[in-house]
Amino acid sequence: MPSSIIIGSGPAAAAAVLALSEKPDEKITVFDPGTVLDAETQGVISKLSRLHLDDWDEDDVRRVSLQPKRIQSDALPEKRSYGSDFPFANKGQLNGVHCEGRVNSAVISSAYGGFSNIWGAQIMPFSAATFKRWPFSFSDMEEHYRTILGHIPFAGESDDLEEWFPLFGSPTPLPPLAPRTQMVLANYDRHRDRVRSAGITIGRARLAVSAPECQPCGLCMTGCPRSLIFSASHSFDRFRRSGRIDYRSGLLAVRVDQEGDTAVVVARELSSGRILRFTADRVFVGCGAVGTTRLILGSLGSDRSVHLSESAQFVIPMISMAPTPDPRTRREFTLNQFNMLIALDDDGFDVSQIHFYPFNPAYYDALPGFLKHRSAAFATDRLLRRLTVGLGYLPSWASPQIRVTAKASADPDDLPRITLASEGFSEAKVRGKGVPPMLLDVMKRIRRAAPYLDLWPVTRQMLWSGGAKSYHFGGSFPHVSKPDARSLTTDRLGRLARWGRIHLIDGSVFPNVPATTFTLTVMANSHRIVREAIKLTG
Amino acid sequence: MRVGITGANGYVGTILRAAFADQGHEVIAFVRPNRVRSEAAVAAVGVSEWRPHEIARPPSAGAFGDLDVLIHGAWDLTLVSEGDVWGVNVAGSQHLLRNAAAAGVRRIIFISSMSAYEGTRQLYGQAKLACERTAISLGGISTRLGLVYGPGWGGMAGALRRLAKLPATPLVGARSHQFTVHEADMADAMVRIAESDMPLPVPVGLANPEPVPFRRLMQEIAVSQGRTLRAFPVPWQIVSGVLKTAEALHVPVPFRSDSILGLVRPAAEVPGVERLKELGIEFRSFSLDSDRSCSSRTSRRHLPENSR
Repeated sequence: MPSSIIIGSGPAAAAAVLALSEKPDEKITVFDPGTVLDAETQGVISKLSRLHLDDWDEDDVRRVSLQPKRIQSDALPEKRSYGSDFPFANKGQLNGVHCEGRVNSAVISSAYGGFSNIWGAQIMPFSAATFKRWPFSFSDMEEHYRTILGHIPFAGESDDLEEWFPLFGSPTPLPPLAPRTQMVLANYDRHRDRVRSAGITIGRARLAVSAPECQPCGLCMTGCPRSLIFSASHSFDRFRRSGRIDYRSGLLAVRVDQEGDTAVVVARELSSGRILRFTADRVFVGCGAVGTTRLILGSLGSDRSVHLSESAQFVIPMISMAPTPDPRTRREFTLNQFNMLIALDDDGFDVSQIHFYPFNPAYYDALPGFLKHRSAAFATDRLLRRLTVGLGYLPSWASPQIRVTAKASADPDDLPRITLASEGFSEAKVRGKGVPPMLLDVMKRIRRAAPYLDLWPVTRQMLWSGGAKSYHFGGSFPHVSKPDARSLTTDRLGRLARWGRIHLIDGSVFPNVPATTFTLTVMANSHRIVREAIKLTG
Repeated sequence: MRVGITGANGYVGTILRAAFADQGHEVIAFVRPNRVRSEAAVAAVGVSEWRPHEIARPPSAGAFGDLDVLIHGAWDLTLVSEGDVWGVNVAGSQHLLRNAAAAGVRRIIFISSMSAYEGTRQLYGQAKLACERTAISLGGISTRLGLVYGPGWGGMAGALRRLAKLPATPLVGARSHQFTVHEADMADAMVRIAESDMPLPVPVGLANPEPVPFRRLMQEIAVSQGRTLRAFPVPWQIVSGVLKTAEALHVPVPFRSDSILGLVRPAAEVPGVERLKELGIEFRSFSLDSDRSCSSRTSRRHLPENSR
């Protein structure tokens, strides 16, 4: 019986299982550290999900809606999932990970489902132009995009974004949008030609959310009490229920290797510290870009540096002249609601993207202290009715890279120590000479469109996120047409030259990282790799 | 059928209440909470039940669970700011439509307007368009009403009638046109659509497809009141500016500034005419003769109580 081991339980791993499970005789084993939400909180969520939101107990809601926690004073706070930090919990996978400066240190998840427990659920394909720099084309990816979108919940609507980002599949409509979103979309319709002449396109969010069942409660950003936001853990729950996989939690992979035609995984049992050895016909590595990079560098036994390409993130507050009703009194869905694409070319390659979020309590928490004082209530009220926050991204070729330096551990069954450092602009305030030129161009274009959209950027309050904070990074072992033994590159099946049975399936194989959303392509590419690997080796 | 109507005390809602009751349907009227127990409500004929409904706080799905049809016509026309229109009228309508769909209502009909067309710059039209999208995505129907006229003389037609009474009538959009629909035809069309199961996945216009020049419209309205129209053209931008200033100062005015845009930039055509013909629905050409002589039986049948 052919056998495969998948390391990880995030989106890439879920897509790999999806592809493997099409082969009825394949034995599929999945390893991960498997950190999960505590049982008591799971009980509260289960209770809330059975009740209508008007009947929810306030204490229960408070418990599962803890706001993001500020870890660094000059960075975006860290999200919580149902009040818990379990997606970021260190179960050993972060030991020996050192970060310099403002680089984010919570870069490898031990959670069952990985970082998809706290992601923004935004799903769009990469543009066709992005793949011109890849060893395969957009058309090679199409069927995999479709398959993934058929597997996960998908909400979205037809709009101008389709010009570069086809709306594969049949999305369900989004839940009702916040007034600000509706106003911006209406302004865009009214002044489309003028806005487009600045290179700006606006469209609705596309989300991995079961929208028809959504009863908007305003808790999306802290964890949907009805579990309507897709997490890879939902896929694995399904695979496990169907008996299709052998899921083994509590394991941290520390080395991969190949002996003849057999792929080998060495893993540490987290509860006992024991080292275990597993073999299979194929191994698919999906630990997330940094986790995979560390595992592979350690397995290669080399003290060397690689570079991760990151689609760097910035936060941009926007102010509107026309107010909306007080957002604090409303219960909207609070995920990303609309996207702004700022294109510097005509074919959808040099593109920056900004996701806009309606009000959620984190807005209020982020206000300067004096605006939270009772005497400033009037001003705060006026401000919150006009405030929108955008989470923007630059493509990796316009962003600083992250250098990952590995140092082999004395213990051969231990992961190497790694240091992550940002190479390029890394200040919190977007000022000075080092600011990426593309960002300045993007802001200029947004200002040109501002009078038409009634969306004015407050550039003085812009925040440049630290390195690795976007979670849109990869490319340490990029796909190339012909990988060679000296360069750390992979073929279209995610294989380094020295291993034919070990496939990297996450963002670590992306030749570049555009500013558009990341996870759908991670899943589609993983699905493609596994399908093609099955075709090749049976 | 059990037919729920929101905005059941409005001009169109009142006509629809009577029309559905006439056809033997049970009418559940959704009105503002303070109107549920009013004397007028108690005295109204043909309403089986009154239920409270505020557009800002739409009822949950449970309020629609026993309905076969829901006609959503409620719209707060006193709201003029963009934020309020999107935050109250649109958001409230979208939530209501979703709740009705979740409750399994067989036929959901959203009352839209001929002001809603792709490319409209009018806030009212854009807001209705957004709700149309929601209704259609839920499998509902969007009906774009033309300028509703008839013996009830409510809504925009009523406002134009008052304007035509002035010794001298300022005429904006004199070269423009409107699509019109008689009260009785609108009501009959709505009943047929509600009774039918025919899918209508794109908005349909409830209006005669022949555009009526605005000057002619005003002249006929004046004649129907035994007057001769004395009109003088006024640039619409001036009128719109004056109305906007009044709105900013919270001075009550008979027209919303946004309505002026609807008068000067009307839709180019009525959508779905052929589709409605398949249901046997057609609309009479604009004329006020029958209403002047009270010769139209259907029109009288649907006369709102407050006009009888």
